Amino acid sequence: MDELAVRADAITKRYEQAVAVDDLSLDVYRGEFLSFLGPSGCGKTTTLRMIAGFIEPDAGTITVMGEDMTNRPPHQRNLGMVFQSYALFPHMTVFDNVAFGLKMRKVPAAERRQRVERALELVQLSAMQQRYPRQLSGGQQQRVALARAIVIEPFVLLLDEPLSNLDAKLRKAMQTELRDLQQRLGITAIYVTHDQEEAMTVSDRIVVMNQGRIMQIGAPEEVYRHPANEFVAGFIGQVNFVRGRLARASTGWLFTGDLGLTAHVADDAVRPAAREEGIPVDLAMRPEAVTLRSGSAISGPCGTVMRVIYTGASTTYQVRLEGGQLLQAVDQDRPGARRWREGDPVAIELAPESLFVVPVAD
Amino acid sequence: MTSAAQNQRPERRRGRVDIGGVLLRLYVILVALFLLSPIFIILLTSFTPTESVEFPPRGFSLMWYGRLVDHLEGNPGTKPGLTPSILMSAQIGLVVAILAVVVGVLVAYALHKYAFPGKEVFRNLFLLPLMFPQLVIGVGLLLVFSEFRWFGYFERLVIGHVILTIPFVILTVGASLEVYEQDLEEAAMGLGANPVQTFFLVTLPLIRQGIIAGAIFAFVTSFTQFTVTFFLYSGSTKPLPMWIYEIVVMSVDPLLAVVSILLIALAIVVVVVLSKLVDVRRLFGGR
Ligand SMILES: Nc1ncnc2c1ncn2[C@@H]1O[C@H](COP(=O)(O)OP(=O)(O)O)[C@@H](O)[C@H]1O
Ligand SMILES: [Mg+2]
Repeated sequence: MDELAVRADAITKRYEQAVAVDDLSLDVYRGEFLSFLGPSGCGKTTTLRMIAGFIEPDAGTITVMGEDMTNRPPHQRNLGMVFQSYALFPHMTVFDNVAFGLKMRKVPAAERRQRVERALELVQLSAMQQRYPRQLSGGQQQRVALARAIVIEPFVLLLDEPLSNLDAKLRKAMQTELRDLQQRLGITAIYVTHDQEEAMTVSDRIVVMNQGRIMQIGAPEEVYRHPANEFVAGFIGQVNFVRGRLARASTGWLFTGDLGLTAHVADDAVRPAAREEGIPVDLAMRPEAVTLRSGSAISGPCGTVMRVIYTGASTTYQVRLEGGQLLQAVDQDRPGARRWREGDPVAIELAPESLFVVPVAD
Repeated sequence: MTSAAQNQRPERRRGRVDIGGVLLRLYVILVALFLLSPIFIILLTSFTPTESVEFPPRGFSLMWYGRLVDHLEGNPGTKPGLTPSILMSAQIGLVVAILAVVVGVLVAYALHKYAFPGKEVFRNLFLLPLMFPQLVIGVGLLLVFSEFRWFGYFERLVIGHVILTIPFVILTVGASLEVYEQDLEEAAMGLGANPVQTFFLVTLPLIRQGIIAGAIFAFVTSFTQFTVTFFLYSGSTKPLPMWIYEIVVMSVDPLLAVVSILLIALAIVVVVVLSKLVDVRRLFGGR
């Protein structure tokens, strides 16, 4: 998995109002499933479309399988694109849709038929060959789009929010299916989504983007557990931020919050850019790292339960600390676990291994 | 007994006549009669057994339909033949439809796909012939053609009609371009189709409906176009509208009614064909 599939080198795309993609560099390895994740408008689609060749970068180069593709038109790049709108040709049957790319490549009819049938088998649509796209459900259309993209055996499969038009349940099922298919074919996939859970489910690596720039690249667990900055921490999963400053301690660091909360933090839990005494930083803690205890039991910071949100698998508590700081705590719904009610006085216990300190986002 | 419907419309009470409803229906019927009356009158007149137009006709006869058959051939020197006129107008209409489609599709495609300075100005400019008095277009072209004399009357008519009908094609093709997404062209290119293949294999089939509708509009407009034709035609064979005009000038007789009925029949055929080939609703609206 170390051979390069795609290399983007310092690519930039400007529009009149703003820079959509700003000096972005990235390596994608063969056979990996890589996702671009970020809020709407952060430049994910623009990046993907530059790789596909629909948009020419203002600066930088794009290499695919070792060949410079920067100025090559899309029809000569041999990439498989899957669109959010499916983009199936409405005047062609499912079979003809899937066969289109092979026709363009002048694959002989017999082989063409074979390959189309195999691709449709892979997405479990063999029975639908002679239907038209409008006669299929959204999920089926998405599978045809997928079959159409993989049948040409592209260097890379490019997918732009392919599941966002499906309902939640189907989306979940398709995520796993997509991942399975990618693994089975061993194909390189670049995926765009604004849904962090989706990115976590399908990807080997996630590229977190914001405002045209890469915030962090890493495996799902890495970006969740060790977010590079406040933006990543806030965008992936729930997180509590407490603004404060660091001071060196005998081991690690001592964090003192502006509103009074203090905590010990291990050295490797502090992002390099935050390792400085006295500058404003954010202490970040996942809600599941915050445990509520009864007031007298421990000596942690105290507060009051403001709100209880029961969601079935877990319960979320909103707690106001004595300093005025609001925190969220999540409890798995284990039998026998202590339940809190609004108004209860509580003490806060922080799991030290789940704390991290990030630089304040600019 | 109070039904749900009555509850929803409290102003309508049992035993009372719904005056508003009656008036509305009457109004709709009157407007329909008003719109259709010329056609009814013409239809009835065309079956008259008398030598001149009388309304209401005094009986039923196909006499004037028979006379029309006489007119098909014509009589050199005295009365012009109808068949050559129809053939000529059909020829012009066909050439006009083809040219208007070729030009109109390219314009609509450019307006849809590319961003360039002054695009909106151009869009409105191309639709101007729809709003201009046809008289002005006719006179203007007449002046131009009397200056540049290298066009024969056939070419002049074609040029005049193409100017009139290009906006139709731009409108209908533009509408069908709006309906489909740009993604489809990109999908084709991503699958290996070059721009020419993409246009012919994907774009063109998708805007087929708009093209057919535009072509039919163009043909019918040209076939029945009077004003511009009047200014531009010359030569021994007259286009159909001119042939009709000549009959009118000679005498208002029931033959006109018969010709009109044939034109109406043609229009109906065209509309039926149009609605078979084209999903009109989709053309002018959603999907
Ligand atoms: N054709 C365009 N013209 C002008 N601005 C654009 C165009 N396409 C994208 N942008 C801008 O570039 C930024 C990135 O867009 P995009 O890549 O589509 O974001 P994402 O896919 O992450 O939601 C946005 O601010 C968007 O408004
Ligand atoms: Mg996008």
